[in-house]
Amino acid sequence: MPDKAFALRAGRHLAPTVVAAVILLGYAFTNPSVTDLALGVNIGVAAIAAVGLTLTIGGAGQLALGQAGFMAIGAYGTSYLMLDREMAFLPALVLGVVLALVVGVLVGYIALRLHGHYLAMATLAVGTAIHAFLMLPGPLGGANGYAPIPFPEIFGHKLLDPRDQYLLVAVTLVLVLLGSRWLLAARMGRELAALRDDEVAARAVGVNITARKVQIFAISAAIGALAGGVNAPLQTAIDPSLFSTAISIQLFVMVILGGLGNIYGAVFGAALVTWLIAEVPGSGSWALTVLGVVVVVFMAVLPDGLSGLTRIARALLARFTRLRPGSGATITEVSK
Amino acid sequence: MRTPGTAEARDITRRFGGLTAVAGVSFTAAKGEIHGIIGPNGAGKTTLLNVLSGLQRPSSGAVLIGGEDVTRWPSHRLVKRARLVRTFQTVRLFGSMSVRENLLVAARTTTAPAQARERVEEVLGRLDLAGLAGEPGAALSYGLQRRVELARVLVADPAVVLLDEPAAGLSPQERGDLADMLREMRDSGVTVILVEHHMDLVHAVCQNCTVLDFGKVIARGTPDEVTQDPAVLEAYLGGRHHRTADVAAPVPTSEED
Amino acid sequence: MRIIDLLVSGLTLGAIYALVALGFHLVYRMTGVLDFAQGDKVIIGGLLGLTLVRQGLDTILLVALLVLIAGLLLGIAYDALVILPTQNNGHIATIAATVGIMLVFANGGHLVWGPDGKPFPPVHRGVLEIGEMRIGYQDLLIWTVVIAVAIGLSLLLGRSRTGRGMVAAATDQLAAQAVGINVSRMRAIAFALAFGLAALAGVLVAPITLAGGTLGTALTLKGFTGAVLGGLASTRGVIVGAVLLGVFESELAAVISNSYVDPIVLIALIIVLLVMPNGLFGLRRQRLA
Repeated sequence: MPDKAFALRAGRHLAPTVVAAVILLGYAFTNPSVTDLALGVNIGVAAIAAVGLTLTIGGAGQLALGQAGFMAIGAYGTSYLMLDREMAFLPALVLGVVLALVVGVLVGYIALRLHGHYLAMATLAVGTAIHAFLMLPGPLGGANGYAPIPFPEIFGHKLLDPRDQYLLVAVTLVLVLLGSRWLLAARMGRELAALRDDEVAARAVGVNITARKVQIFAISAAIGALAGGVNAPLQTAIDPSLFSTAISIQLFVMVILGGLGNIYGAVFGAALVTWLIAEVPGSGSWALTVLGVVVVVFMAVLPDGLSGLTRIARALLARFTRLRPGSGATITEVSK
Repeated sequence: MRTPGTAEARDITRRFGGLTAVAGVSFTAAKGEIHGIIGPNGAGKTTLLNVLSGLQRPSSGAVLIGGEDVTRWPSHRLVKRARLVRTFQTVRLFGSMSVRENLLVAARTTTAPAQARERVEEVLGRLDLAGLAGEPGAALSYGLQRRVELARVLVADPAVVLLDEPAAGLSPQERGDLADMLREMRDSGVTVILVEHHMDLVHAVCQNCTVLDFGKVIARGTPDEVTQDPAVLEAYLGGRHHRTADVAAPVPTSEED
Repeated sequence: MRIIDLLVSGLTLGAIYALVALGFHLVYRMTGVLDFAQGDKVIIGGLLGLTLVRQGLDTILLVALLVLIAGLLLGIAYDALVILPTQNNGHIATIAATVGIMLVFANGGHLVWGPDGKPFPPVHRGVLEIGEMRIGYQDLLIWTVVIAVAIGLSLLLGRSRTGRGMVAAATDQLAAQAVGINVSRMRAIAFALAFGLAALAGVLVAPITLAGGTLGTALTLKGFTGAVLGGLASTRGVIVGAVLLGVFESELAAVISNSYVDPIVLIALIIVLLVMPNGLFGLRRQRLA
């Protein structure tokens, strides 16, 4: 029988990551148009941020609604260092990610005090506050945005070709998937799942929940910043609207649709949402209205998202193949 | 003074607002002793366990494990350094995780990866759970969940074990198995603090008991001694009790510290 | 007399926040859910009002009344379609559902009415001058509405049978059921009021902020900040907290540039959540979450 906790299954199979890597990298060599590559960049960037977010929401059961804020820190940090400090792309990116890591630690401490709905509201406020700070007039350009950010140069190779740019995003995404897979399969992932299932019991068996919560928020923030920092120089100009609360909400929807805690689901959710917003007429309004309805329906009938479909399929299969032992007398507690 | 393996509560008091759930409770359990904590519903037994296991801070008093003051220790350090592990009155498994993963979480907090896996398999075999190792915790019957919770304690290689009514809801047969398991633990030098309602189990395994009522110690001694103590009889049978449920022991929330 | 002018606009802002915050309060007390679409209900109210005005209805008070009624009905549907079906699937499911509805309201609003804010007529354009103080009749109306709502709610919750039923259902659903209280009716009333009052706020504030637009999430956060400041569990608390927040925000703009107000308020929200989660008037540890 498979574990319901995705976190623990993730590490056991390398196949999904390999398949994802082949599709993501292979796409660049199928002669896609420049428009398709640009969409690919957008999908990849959203997917990186969504995978980061799914570690907190799905992996640890900690709701966060401010991921766009961390993308902004990565994007603005990297861009500022490249443009104003004339730093090379890679060190600038690393510093931008480290900055987000520090802010993520602070948010992790917030998560130690607040739970559930309150934590969600607080993280929404954090994301909105970061956006509001970027709107202030100043060296980062306020509402007008920040430009011109030089194209990234990696080991002497300047990424001017759209295909190279797409590959940069795709490789980053594959690395993030590998890293997340490793993280979830290790002791960390198991302890996060324990924390999500029952925080008190997790403490009682010796899980250091303080450290784990702070760590996962920091890692999630850093991955969000990585998405922003890789993307910014490819766009040559950034402005606060790219990191608004609406974007945080979209990332949350990607994670929800992909199934909580499923990193491949998050990639799929990111592709679906980004593609719909780009392709459905109505500059996103139609797509987001329908997605909003879909989210409500999912939460009512299938709270673990698209990956719930595979769970149901598996359960049906199991019912036909053998009976589950001891499923008769499960005790459920009546609470509130 | 350090005495390895002893568990000592020193004058522990715990208040919730105006309610004093535990009032100046002291007792000592020697290494390799099974020490019963008994008393009517609402006597403060679970609160006492919550304090001993670091889930709640005492309002005053101290907890000493092996002679070392661990009162301010966070629960994860208690598990790792003092090897103090507990179970809950209502079983708390990690429902979405398999039986094996449930045990691995606990094993890894005290042991290196390779030994942890070995230990988990060993305990799974010993408690006759090997066939269920891949089942999600939530899918097991109540009795099995209890057994998994005990297994989760054993894999941590504990020095001190706190059990909160482990016999509740078990059949006489299962209670017998539990008593055997407790004796085995005791013989391997583990100190057990046992909160229990089933007096037959207490009689069968405990060397000493502490009896609580309204948060205070009203008697102590061997199981035979305390069951004949007039104060204990009064507490259990006296007409002054109108308590119907265990209400004085709120489940600790993670906001406690 | 800039301070006085800002006080007037601050009280009005606070009164609008109070109507949003009351919705948070009612729904949270009844279900333990924080509704992330609470601010977007205000926008929907304003846009519904706009449609009525465009249909030729020019008595704005009547428009407000009709929108209030529509909001009450929408609130009942909202509970039945969004909150009830998701409530047993864990808190993440409920939050996600209200976030989904937030998308529907915001983007659906853009589809039907267009993305930009639209001008909206006030009930009365006049200004009352008392010495150097100038108070718009619209401001007076908004204050009156909030005072009336506050008195009405405290009578409903404190004195009436329904109110006692609501408090009982909010405190312990099973116990309330056991003594014969119709818990679903109590829920419906809470959700109806939460939506209705927010929609009413939409009509009242639209002349100032324009109808429609993208202020929904901002209103959610501000209304919640006001509610938490006063104490989410207390009816009086959320109203006082929201009004305080409105005045604070408005007066802050006298000292520093307007664009700094939002970041400061958001930081303040996080600090309030961390250091005094029960708010100024909160009951201590109302009940376990």
